[in-house]
Amino acid sequence: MYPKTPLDAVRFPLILLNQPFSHQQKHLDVLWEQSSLQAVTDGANNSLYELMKAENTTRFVPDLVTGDFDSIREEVKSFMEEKGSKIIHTPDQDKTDFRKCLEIVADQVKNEKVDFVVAFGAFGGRLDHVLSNINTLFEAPSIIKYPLYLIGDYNISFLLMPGHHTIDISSGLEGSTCGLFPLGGKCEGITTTGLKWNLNQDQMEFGGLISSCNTYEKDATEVTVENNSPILWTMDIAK
Amino acid sequence: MRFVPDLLTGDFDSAKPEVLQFMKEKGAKLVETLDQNFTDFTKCLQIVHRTIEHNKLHVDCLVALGAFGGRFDHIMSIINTLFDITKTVKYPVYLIGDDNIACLLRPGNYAIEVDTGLEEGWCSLIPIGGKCKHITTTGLKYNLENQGMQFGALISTSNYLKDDAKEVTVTTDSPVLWAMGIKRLKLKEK
Repeated sequence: MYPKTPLDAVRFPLILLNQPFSHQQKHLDVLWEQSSLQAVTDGANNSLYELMKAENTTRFVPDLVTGDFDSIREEVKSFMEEKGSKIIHTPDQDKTDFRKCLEIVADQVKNEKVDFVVAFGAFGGRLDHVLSNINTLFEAPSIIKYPLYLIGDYNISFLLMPGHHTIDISSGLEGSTCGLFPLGGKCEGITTTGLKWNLNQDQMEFGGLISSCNTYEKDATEVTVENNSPILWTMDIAK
Repeated sequence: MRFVPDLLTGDFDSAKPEVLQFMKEKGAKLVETLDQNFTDFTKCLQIVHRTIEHNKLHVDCLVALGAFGGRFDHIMSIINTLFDITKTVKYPVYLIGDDNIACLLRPGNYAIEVDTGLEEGWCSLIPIGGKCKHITTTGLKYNLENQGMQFGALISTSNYLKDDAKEVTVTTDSPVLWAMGIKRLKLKEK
Protein backbone atom coordinates (compact mmCIF):
# COMPACT_ATOMS: atom_id res chain seq x y z
CA MET A 1 0.00 0.00 0.00
CA TYR A 2 1.50 3.31 -1.03
CA PRO A 3 1.75 5.92 1.72
CA LYS A 4 -1.57 6.70 3.31
CA THR A 5 -0.21 7.75 6.66
CA PRO A 6 0.84 11.34 7.27
CA LEU A 7 4.51 12.09 6.77
CA ASP A 8 5.25 12.47 10.46
CA ALA A 9 4.15 8.88 11.07
CA VAL A 10 6.63 7.41 8.59
CA ARG A 11 10.39 7.25 8.54
CA PHE A 12 12.20 8.01 5.30
CA PRO A 13 15.65 9.06 4.12
CA LEU A 14 15.72 11.90 1.61
CA ILE A 15 18.14 12.08 -1.31
CA LEU A 16 18.48 15.45 -3.03
CA LEU A 17 19.43 15.35 -6.72
CA ASN A 18 20.95 18.09 -8.78
CA GLN A 19 18.01 19.59 -10.64
CA PRO A 20 16.66 23.10 -10.19
CA PHE A 21 14.11 23.24 -7.38
CA SER A 22 13.61 26.92 -6.78
CA HIS A 23 9.90 26.85 -7.66
CA GLN A 24 9.23 23.86 -5.41
CA GLN A 25 10.53 25.34 -2.18
CA LYS A 26 7.48 24.24 -0.18
CA HIS A 27 7.98 20.60 -1.22
CA LEU A 28 11.65 20.78 -0.29
CA ASP A 29 10.77 22.32 3.10
CA VAL A 30 8.24 19.61 3.99
CA LEU A 31 10.35 16.68 2.79
CA TRP A 32 13.50 17.96 4.46
CA GLU A 33 11.76 18.61 7.80
CA GLN A 34 10.12 15.20 7.94
CA SER A 35 13.01 13.06 6.67
CA SER A 36 15.00 10.88 9.03
CA LEU A 37 18.24 11.32 7.06
CA GLN A 38 19.31 13.72 4.31
CA ALA A 39 21.86 12.84 1.61
CA VAL A 40 22.65 15.50 -0.98
CA THR A 41 24.48 14.77 -4.22
CA ASP A 42 27.21 16.98 -5.66
CA GLY A 43 25.89 20.22 -7.23
CA ALA A 44 22.59 20.13 -5.32
CA ASN A 45 24.66 21.26 -2.33
CA ASN A 46 25.46 24.52 -4.13
CA SER A 47 21.73 25.30 -4.38
CA LEU A 48 21.16 24.55 -0.69
CA TYR A 49 24.12 26.73 0.22
CA GLU A 50 22.62 29.66 -1.72
CA LEU A 51 19.26 29.12 0.00
CA MET A 52 20.88 29.13 3.45
CA LYS A 53 22.97 32.21 2.64
CA ALA A 54 19.85 34.08 1.51
CA GLU A 55 17.95 33.20 4.69
CA ASN A 56 21.00 33.30 6.97
CA THR A 57 20.25 29.84 8.41
CA THR A 58 21.86 26.41 8.54
CA ARG A 59 18.66 24.44 8.18
CA PHE A 60 19.68 22.71 4.95
CA VAL A 61 22.93 21.15 6.16
CA PRO A 62 22.57 17.47 5.25
CA ASP A 63 23.77 14.38 7.12
CA LEU A 64 25.61 13.20 4.01
CA VAL A 65 27.24 14.97 1.06
CA THR A 66 28.08 12.50 -1.70
CA GLY A 67 29.10 12.41 -5.36
CA ASP A 68 32.07 12.59 -7.72
CA PHE A 69 32.34 16.29 -6.75
CA ASP A 70 32.72 17.67 -10.27
CA SER A 71 29.98 20.25 -9.59
CA ILE A 72 30.08 21.10 -5.89
CA ARG A 73 32.04 24.28 -5.11
CA GLU A 74 34.96 23.98 -2.69
CA GLU A 75 33.57 26.60 -0.28
CA VAL A 76 30.22 24.76 -0.23
CA LYS A 77 31.89 21.43 0.59
CA SER A 78 33.95 23.08 3.36
CA PHE A 79 30.88 24.83 4.74
CA MET A 80 28.85 21.62 4.89
CA GLU A 81 31.72 19.74 6.50
CA GLU A 82 32.20 22.47 9.13
CA LYS A 83 28.51 22.36 9.96
CA GLY A 84 28.53 18.60 10.50
CA SER A 85 27.90 16.85 7.17
CA LYS A 86 29.78 13.65 6.48
CA ILE A 87 31.53 14.04 3.12
CA ILE A 88 31.70 10.86 1.02
CA HIS A 89 33.53 11.05 -2.30
CA THR A 90 32.23 8.57 -4.86
CA PRO A 91 34.43 8.90 -7.97
CA ASP A 92 33.30 5.72 -9.81
CA GLN A 93 32.35 6.92 -13.29
CA ASP A 94 30.51 3.72 -14.17
CA LYS A 95 27.64 4.62 -11.85
CA THR A 96 25.63 7.81 -11.49
CA ASP A 97 25.89 10.01 -8.39
CA PHE A 98 22.28 9.06 -7.59
CA ARG A 99 22.96 5.34 -7.70
CA LYS A 100 26.06 5.69 -5.56
CA CYS A 101 24.15 7.84 -3.07
CA LEU A 102 21.37 5.26 -2.85
CA GLU A 103 23.96 2.57 -2.08
CA ILE A 104 25.37 4.74 0.74
CA VAL A 105 21.88 5.41 2.13
CA ALA A 106 21.07 1.69 1.96
CA ASP A 107 24.14 0.99 4.04
CA GLN A 108 23.29 3.76 6.55
CA VAL A 109 19.79 2.39 7.19
CA LYS A 110 20.64 -1.31 7.14
CA ASN A 111 20.09 -1.67 10.87
CA GLU A 112 16.98 0.44 11.17
CA LYS A 113 13.49 0.25 9.80
CA VAL A 114 12.43 2.85 7.27
CA ASP A 115 9.25 2.95 5.26
CA PHE A 116 10.53 4.20 1.90
CA VAL A 117 13.18 6.44 0.30
CA VAL A 118 12.45 9.74 -1.43
CA ALA A 119 14.68 11.27 -4.12
CA PHE A 120 13.74 14.92 -4.64
CA GLY A 121 14.84 17.03 -7.59
CA ALA A 122 14.34 14.10 -9.96
CA PHE A 123 12.55 16.00 -12.75
CA GLY A 124 13.14 19.11 -14.85
CA GLY A 125 16.31 20.16 -16.64
CA ARG A 126 18.38 17.70 -18.61
CA LEU A 127 16.38 14.90 -20.22
CA ASP A 128 19.19 12.35 -19.83
CA HIS A 129 19.35 13.02 -16.09
CA VAL A 130 15.60 12.50 -15.76
CA LEU A 131 15.73 9.20 -17.65
CA SER A 132 18.79 8.12 -15.71
CA ASN A 133 16.89 8.80 -12.45
CA ILE A 134 14.10 6.58 -13.78
CA ASN A 135 16.64 3.89 -14.56
CA THR A 136 17.69 3.99 -10.91
CA LEU A 137 14.11 2.99 -10.04
CA PHE A 138 14.72 -0.21 -12.02
CA GLU A 139 18.07 -0.78 -10.28
CA ALA A 140 16.81 0.08 -6.79
CA PRO A 141 15.41 -3.33 -5.75
CA SER A 142 18.92 -4.79 -5.98
CA ILE A 143 20.31 -1.93 -3.83
CA ILE A 144 17.71 -1.34 -1.10
CA LYS A 145 14.68 -3.30 0.05
CA TYR A 146 12.40 -0.28 0.52
CA PRO A 147 10.28 1.46 -2.17
CA LEU A 148 11.93 4.43 -3.89
CA TYR A 149 9.86 7.46 -4.90
CA LEU A 150 11.06 10.13 -7.34
CA ILE A 151 9.63 13.59 -6.71
CA GLY A 152 10.22 16.85 -8.55
CA ASP A 153 8.55 19.54 -10.63
CA TYR A 154 5.16 18.57 -9.19
CA ASN A 155 5.54 14.94 -10.36
CA ILE A 156 5.80 11.77 -8.30
CA SER A 157 6.92 8.60 -10.04
CA PHE A 158 7.65 5.09 -8.91
CA LEU A 159 8.07 1.70 -10.49
CA LEU A 160 5.44 -0.98 -10.19
CA MET A 161 7.18 -4.34 -10.30
CA PRO A 162 5.13 -7.29 -11.63
CA GLY A 163 2.27 -7.91 -9.22
CA HIS A 164 -0.75 -6.25 -7.70
CA HIS A 165 -0.55 -2.67 -6.40
CA THR A 166 -2.89 -0.33 -4.56
CA ILE A 167 -2.19 3.40 -4.72
CA ASP A 168 -4.01 5.65 -2.28
CA ILE A 169 -5.27 8.86 -3.94
CA SER A 170 -7.35 10.33 -1.14
CA SER A 171 -4.80 12.61 0.50
CA GLY A 172 -6.12 15.74 -1.17
CA LEU A 173 -2.62 16.57 -2.43
CA GLU A 174 -3.00 14.78 -5.75
CA GLY A 175 -3.21 16.77 -8.97
CA SER A 176 -5.57 15.52 -11.61
CA THR A 177 -3.30 13.66 -13.99
CA CYS A 178 -1.54 10.34 -13.91
CA GLY A 179 0.02 7.88 -16.33
CA LEU A 180 1.44 4.40 -16.78
CA PHE A 181 4.47 3.80 -19.00
CA PRO A 182 6.12 0.54 -20.17
CA LEU A 183 9.66 1.89 -20.11
CA GLY A 184 11.19 -1.52 -19.52
CA GLY A 185 9.64 -2.87 -22.69
CA LYS A 186 6.34 -4.40 -23.77
CA CYS A 187 3.98 -5.29 -20.95
CA GLU A 188 1.87 -8.25 -21.99
CA GLY A 189 -0.97 -7.69 -19.53
CA ILE A 190 -2.10 -4.79 -17.37
CA THR A 191 -5.41 -4.16 -15.60
CA THR A 192 -6.39 -1.12 -13.55
CA THR A 193 -9.27 0.25 -11.51
CA GLY A 194 -9.86 3.79 -10.28
CA LEU A 195 -8.80 5.56 -13.46
CA LYS A 196 -11.00 7.45 -15.88
CA TRP A 197 -9.58 5.32 -18.72
CA ASN A 198 -8.94 1.94 -17.13
CA LEU A 199 -6.94 -0.86 -18.68
CA ASN A 200 -8.33 -4.35 -18.92
CA GLN A 201 -5.80 -7.10 -19.61
CA ASP A 202 -4.28 -4.75 -22.18
CA GLN A 203 -0.84 -4.83 -23.71
CA MET A 204 1.28 -1.72 -23.37
CA GLU A 205 4.31 -0.59 -25.33
CA PHE A 206 5.80 2.57 -26.82
CA GLY A 207 4.42 2.94 -30.32
CA GLY A 208 1.34 1.08 -29.17
CA LEU A 209 -0.81 1.70 -26.11
CA ILE A 210 0.55 3.83 -23.30
CA SER A 211 -1.50 5.59 -20.68
CA SER A 212 -0.63 9.30 -20.55
CA CYS A 213 -2.78 12.26 -19.44
CA ASN A 214 -5.08 9.83 -17.62
CA THR A 215 -7.05 10.97 -14.62
CA TYR A 216 -8.98 9.50 -11.68
CA GLU A 217 -12.49 8.08 -11.71
CA LYS A 218 -14.94 10.37 -9.95
CA ASP A 219 -14.95 9.67 -6.19
CA ALA A 220 -12.16 7.08 -6.45
CA THR A 221 -10.04 6.83 -3.29
CA GLU A 222 -7.55 4.37 -4.69
CA VAL A 223 -6.11 3.11 -7.94
CA THR A 224 -5.23 -0.56 -8.36
CA VAL A 225 -2.80 -1.90 -10.93
CA GLU A 226 -2.13 -5.50 -11.83
CA ASN A 227 0.80 -5.88 -14.22
CA ASN A 228 3.09 -8.64 -15.38
CA SER A 229 6.15 -6.53 -16.26
CA PRO A 230 7.62 -3.40 -14.65
CA ILE A 231 5.52 -0.30 -15.34
CA LEU A 232 6.30 3.29 -14.37
CA TRP A 233 3.47 5.04 -12.51
CA THR A 234 3.52 8.82 -12.59
CA MET A 235 1.14 11.34 -11.04
CA ASP A 236 1.16 15.04 -10.49
CA ILE A 237 0.95 16.96 -7.23
CA ALA A 238 -1.69 19.70 -6.99
CA LYS A 239 -0.36 23.23 -7.30
CA MET B 1 2.11 40.15 -34.60
CA ARG B 2 5.10 38.02 -35.46
CA PHE B 3 3.86 34.97 -33.52
CA VAL B 4 0.58 34.43 -35.35
CA PRO B 5 0.78 30.82 -36.60
CA ASP B 6 -0.47 29.33 -39.86
CA LEU B 7 -2.36 26.65 -37.98
CA LEU B 8 -3.90 26.61 -34.56
CA THR B 9 -4.89 23.08 -33.51
CA GLY B 10 -6.05 21.13 -30.48
CA ASP B 11 -9.12 20.24 -28.46
CA PHE B 12 -9.15 23.88 -27.27
CA ASP B 13 -9.61 23.04 -23.60
CA SER B 14 -6.70 25.36 -22.68
CA ALA B 15 -6.70 28.17 -25.30
CA LYS B 16 -8.59 31.26 -24.15
CA PRO B 17 -11.51 32.24 -26.42
CA GLU B 18 -10.14 35.77 -26.90
CA VAL B 19 -6.81 34.29 -27.95
CA LEU B 20 -8.47 32.01 -30.50
CA GLN B 21 -10.47 34.97 -31.79
CA PHE B 22 -7.37 37.16 -32.10
CA MET B 23 -5.39 34.48 -33.96
CA LYS B 24 -8.27 33.80 -36.30
CA GLU B 25 -8.62 37.51 -37.09
CA LYS B 26 -4.91 37.75 -37.85
CA GLY B 27 -5.04 34.91 -40.34
CA ALA B 28 -4.42 31.66 -38.44
CA LYS B 29 -6.45 28.64 -39.60
CA LEU B 30 -8.18 27.06 -36.59
CA VAL B 31 -8.48 23.29 -36.69
CA GLU B 32 -10.34 21.77 -33.75
CA THR B 33 -9.28 18.19 -33.06
CA LEU B 34 -11.60 16.61 -30.53
CA ASP B 35 -10.54 12.96 -30.71
CA GLN B 36 -9.63 12.03 -27.12
CA ASN B 37 -7.82 8.90 -28.27
CA PHE B 38 -4.85 10.96 -29.45
CA THR B 39 -2.85 13.75 -27.84
CA ASP B 40 -2.91 17.32 -29.16
CA PHE B 41 0.65 16.80 -30.41
CA THR B 42 -0.15 13.66 -32.39
CA LYS B 43 -3.20 15.30 -33.95
CA CYS B 44 -1.23 18.44 -34.81
CA LEU B 45 1.51 16.39 -36.40
CA GLN B 46 -1.05 14.51 -38.49
CA ILE B 47 -2.53 17.80 -39.70
CA VAL B 48 0.88 19.26 -40.51
CA HIS B 49 1.84 16.09 -42.36
CA ARG B 50 -1.41 16.11 -44.35
CA THR B 51 -0.83 19.78 -45.23
CA ILE B 52 2.67 18.99 -46.44
CA GLU B 53 1.47 16.05 -48.57
CA HIS B 54 -1.52 17.94 -49.95
CA ASN B 55 0.55 20.95 -50.97
CA LYS B 56 3.46 18.77 -52.09
CA LEU B 57 5.84 20.84 -49.95
CA HIS B 58 9.49 19.88 -49.75
CA VAL B 59 10.41 19.41 -46.14
CA ASP B 60 13.76 18.40 -44.62
CA CYS B 61 12.58 17.90 -41.06
CA LEU B 62 9.95 18.88 -38.57
CA VAL B 63 10.70 20.68 -35.27
CA ALA B 64 8.50 20.51 -32.19
CA LEU B 65 9.42 23.26 -29.71
CA GLY B 66 8.48 23.19 -26.04
CA ALA B 67 8.73 19.42 -25.74
CA PHE B 68 10.52 19.30 -22.38
CA GLY B 69 10.27 20.75 -18.88
CA GLY B 70 7.10 20.43 -16.85
CA ARG B 71 4.91 17.38 -16.60
CA PHE B 72 6.76 14.13 -17.01
CA ASP B 73 3.80 12.29 -18.50
CA HIS B 74 3.66 14.90 -21.29
CA ILE B 75 7.28 14.17 -22.12
CA MET B 76 6.54 10.43 -22.28
CA SER B 77 3.51 11.08 -24.43
CA ILE B 78 5.47 13.31 -26.83
CA ILE B 79 8.15 10.63 -27.19
CA ASN B 80 5.42 8.05 -27.83
CA THR B 81 4.13 10.23 -30.68
CA LEU B 82 7.52 9.82 -32.35
CA PHE B 83 6.93 6.06 -32.31
CA ASP B 84 3.34 6.48 -33.54
CA ILE B 85 4.24 8.49 -36.63
CA THR B 86 7.05 6.17 -37.71
CA LYS B 87 4.98 4.63 -40.48
CA THR B 88 3.54 7.84 -41.95
CA VAL B 89 6.23 10.50 -41.51
CA LYS B 90 9.51 9.76 -43.24
CA TYR B 91 11.42 12.99 -42.49
CA PRO B 92 13.09 13.44 -39.07
CA VAL B 93 11.10 14.98 -36.24
CA TYR B 94 13.20 16.91 -33.68
CA LEU B 95 11.96 17.69 -30.19
CA ILE B 96 13.48 20.84 -28.65
CA GLY B 97 13.00 22.38 -25.23
CA ASP B 98 14.75 23.32 -22.02
CA ASP B 99 18.21 23.15 -23.61
CA ASN B 100 17.58 19.60 -24.86
CA ILE B 101 17.17 18.35 -28.43
CA ALA B 102 16.04 14.79 -29.10
CA CYS B 103 14.93 12.55 -31.91
CA LEU B 104 14.00 8.90 -32.29
CA LEU B 105 16.46 6.75 -34.23
CA ARG B 106 14.62 3.83 -35.78
CA PRO B 107 16.62 0.69 -36.57
CA GLY B 108 19.39 1.63 -39.01
CA ASN B 109 22.65 3.59 -39.43
CA TYR B 110 22.93 7.26 -38.63
CA ALA B 111 25.54 9.99 -38.88
CA ILE B 112 24.80 12.95 -36.60
CA GLU B 113 26.70 16.16 -37.32
CA VAL B 114 28.04 17.57 -34.05
CA ASP B 115 30.43 20.40 -34.94
CA THR B 116 28.06 23.32 -35.42
CA GLY B 117 29.37 24.98 -32.29
CA LEU B 118 25.88 24.95 -30.78
CA GLU B 119 26.28 21.64 -28.97
CA GLU B 120 26.52 21.87 -25.17
CA GLY B 121 28.59 18.67 -25.03
CA TRP B 122 26.44 16.11 -23.21
CA CYS B 123 24.49 13.48 -25.08
CA SER B 124 22.66 10.22 -24.50
CA LEU B 125 21.09 7.18 -26.12
CA ILE B 126 18.09 5.69 -24.39
CA PRO B 127 16.19 2.47 -25.21
CA ILE B 128 12.78 3.96 -24.49
CA GLY B 129 10.78 1.40 -26.44
CA GLY B 130 12.27 -1.60 -24.75
CA LYS B 131 15.41 -3.68 -25.01
CA CYS B 132 17.86 -2.67 -27.70
CA LYS B 133 19.76 -5.80 -28.62
CA HIS B 134 22.70 -4.33 -30.53
CA ILE B 135 23.98 -0.80 -30.72
CA THR B 136 27.36 0.55 -31.87
CA THR B 137 28.56 4.14 -31.86
CA THR B 138 31.56 6.28 -32.78
CA GLY B 139 32.36 9.85 -31.81
CA LEU B 140 31.34 9.57 -28.17
CA LYS B 141 33.45 9.67 -25.03
CA TYR B 142 31.93 6.32 -23.97
CA ASN B 143 31.23 4.50 -27.22
CA LEU B 144 29.02 1.43 -27.40
CA GLU B 145 30.46 -1.62 -29.09
CA ASN B 146 27.70 -3.91 -30.31
CA GLN B 147 26.16 -3.81 -26.84
CA GLY B 148 22.64 -4.26 -25.56
CA MET B 149 20.75 -1.50 -23.72
CA GLN B 150 17.71 -1.72 -21.48
CA PHE B 151 16.11 0.04 -18.52
CA GLY B 152 17.34 -1.74 -15.42
CA ALA B 153 20.67 -2.42 -17.10
CA LEU B 154 22.79 -0.25 -19.41
CA ILE B 155 21.42 3.01 -20.72
CA SER B 156 23.78 5.65 -22.06
CA THR B 157 23.27 8.90 -20.15
CA SER B 158 25.77 11.64 -19.21
CA ASN B 159 27.76 10.66 -22.27
CA TYR B 160 29.76 13.31 -24.13
CA LEU B 161 30.75 14.20 -27.65
CA LYS B 162 34.44 13.39 -28.13
CA ASP B 163 36.42 16.64 -28.17
CA ASP B 164 37.38 16.68 -31.83
CA ALA B 165 34.40 14.70 -33.17
CA LYS B 166 32.72 16.16 -36.24
CA GLU B 167 30.06 13.49 -36.25
CA VAL B 168 28.60 10.74 -34.14
CA THR B 169 27.57 7.52 -35.86
CA VAL B 170 24.95 5.17 -34.44
CA THR B 171 24.02 1.72 -35.72
CA THR B 172 21.07 0.22 -33.90
CA ASP B 173 18.73 -2.70 -34.38
CA SER B 174 15.94 -1.22 -32.21
CA PRO B 175 14.46 2.27 -31.77
CA VAL B 176 16.56 4.46 -29.47
CA LEU B 177 16.09 8.04 -28.36
CA TRP B 178 19.07 10.31 -29.10
CA ALA B 179 19.12 13.34 -26.78
CA MET B 180 21.78 16.02 -26.49
CA GLY B 181 22.31 19.41 -24.93
CA ILE B 182 22.23 22.66 -26.87
CA LYS B 183 23.82 25.91 -25.83
CA ARG B 184 21.63 28.79 -24.81
CA LEU B 185 21.80 31.42 -27.51
CA LYS B 186 22.43 34.96 -26.35
CA LEU B 187 20.11 37.42 -28.03
CA LYS B 188 22.12 39.97 -29.97
CA GLU B 189 21.90 43.55 -28.66
CA LYS B 190 20.09 45.80 -31.13
